[in-house]
Amino acid sequence: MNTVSNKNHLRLFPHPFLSSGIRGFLSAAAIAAFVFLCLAGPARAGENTADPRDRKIQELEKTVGALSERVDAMDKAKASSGGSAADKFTFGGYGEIHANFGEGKAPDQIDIHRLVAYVGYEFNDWIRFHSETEIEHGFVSSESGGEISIEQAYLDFLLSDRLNVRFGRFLTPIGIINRKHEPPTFNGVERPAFDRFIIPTTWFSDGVGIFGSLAPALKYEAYVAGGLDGSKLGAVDGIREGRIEERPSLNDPAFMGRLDYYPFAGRSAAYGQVARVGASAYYSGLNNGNEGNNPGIKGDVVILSADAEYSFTKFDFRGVITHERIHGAKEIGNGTASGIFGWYLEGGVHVFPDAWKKGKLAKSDAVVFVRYEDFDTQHRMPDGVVKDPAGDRTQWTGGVNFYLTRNLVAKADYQVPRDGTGQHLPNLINFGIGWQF
Amino acid sequence: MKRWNGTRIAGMLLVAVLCIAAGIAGCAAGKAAIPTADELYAGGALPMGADLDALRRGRAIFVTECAACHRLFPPNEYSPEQWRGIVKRMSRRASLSEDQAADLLLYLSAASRAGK
Repeated sequence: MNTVSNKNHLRLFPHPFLSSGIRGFLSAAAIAAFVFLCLAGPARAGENTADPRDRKIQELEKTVGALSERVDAMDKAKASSGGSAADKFTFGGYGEIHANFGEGKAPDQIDIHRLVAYVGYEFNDWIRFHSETEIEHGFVSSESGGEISIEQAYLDFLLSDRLNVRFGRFLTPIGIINRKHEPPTFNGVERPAFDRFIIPTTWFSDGVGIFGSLAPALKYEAYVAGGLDGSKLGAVDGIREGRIEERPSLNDPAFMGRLDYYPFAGRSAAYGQVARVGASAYYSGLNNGNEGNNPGIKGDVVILSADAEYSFTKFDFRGVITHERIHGAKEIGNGTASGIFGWYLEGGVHVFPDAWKKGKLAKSDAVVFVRYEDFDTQHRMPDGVVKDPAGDRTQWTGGVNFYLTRNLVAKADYQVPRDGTGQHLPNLINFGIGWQF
Repeated sequence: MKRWNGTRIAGMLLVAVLCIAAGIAGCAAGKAAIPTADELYAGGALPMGADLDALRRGRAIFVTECAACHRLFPPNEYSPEQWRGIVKRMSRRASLSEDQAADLLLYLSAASRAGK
């Protein structure tokens, strides 16, 4: 048996009978090393380390050391795996506190924007539960804008690398921010405006689907879930209010999926390159309401979106482009467009000098970035429906993220929003602090 | 009709400038922060006889699964012992199987040793 290359020996939670076998192998390896030394004879004084026997000895020492380390880890894992039920829980969370200052008479405020608690549970080695519960704006009442919601609550059934099943409430797999929105993962205090009006975050869906890897560098997700409420679509907010956050109807379900390709996942990547290119599609009927109170809307929404992230050396880039086609827009009313379109691009550079990464700042970083957004919730109008110029918007955002440590970030930025009305919109200065653990 | 005002034009110009700047900087860039499996293997960071395919799988999982939820942490910023604890906890959150977690740990441990 090729003990060293046997994958079982690398597992975190190994078969309980393997430890003694590996110990036996270690002993054999040590004896073999000793015999090899004796047969090879003592190294001559003054001989340099280029001697192949020395290299062989060093390799054997390294092998024995690495295997010893693994056996220790396996023993620890074995000891913990038989522990209490509490060991099967995983806890985490993220949050962000903002201070927003508007130009002129625009309101200034401090906002505990999000506080999210993650709880996970491992039923066994192939069934996992995940949940996120969120409180927004620090206080919830009938008169406030705050809300509490279950952002995610789903079970994963891990069948193989290629095919797994997910059931429950999960993040709708479109765009970048909707799936990755923990504050240390994006630049700027507030999420992009694009991700409020075009891909409205946080957008979750209730249903069932499959996910996995078609190849080491190619991942997929596909789901069927509750759909959008067509009666809530509008001129300026687009599909945002069409999300049903309580008990979505399954009358006119949604079908959605995405593919992600990572070109440097398995091959040489000079300059620390990391890249991802994704494409997603979403289709939903519109005759859905909360608690099955369907609005009688005849129509549907088709969303096609592409997104990409690319990093190399000290530069990060990301961008999203999305087109939404709404059939039945004229019947829906509310100034709903038949076509919605938007995109944004963002570039950032890591400016924190390596020489400063010492002591308390050993894992610190700073990113200066600029983002440009261009989107229009009134991109294409049904015949006879007048376009609302307020839906045609651009926004510049420039600022800095300073990472005190990897998962804690202080942010500052300046935003210049504009729309098609020609009226001056107040520029904004934002400060924030966010975390993830 | 779409407006092509000054803001939009400036936005596109800035994006173009950023891309060019990034290209120039990339040409003068330093060493890779996330070594490939083959680089680690060639550099002797892997124990003799260990599985190169597992190391490759581990790197792919690192790039595809870890980056799905957060920025990638450079492997050499944590010791192999620290990575063991991190992988045990995070593999649950990322719904990784035991085999996937083992491959990931193998890669991170090797990359950590190589980067020290």
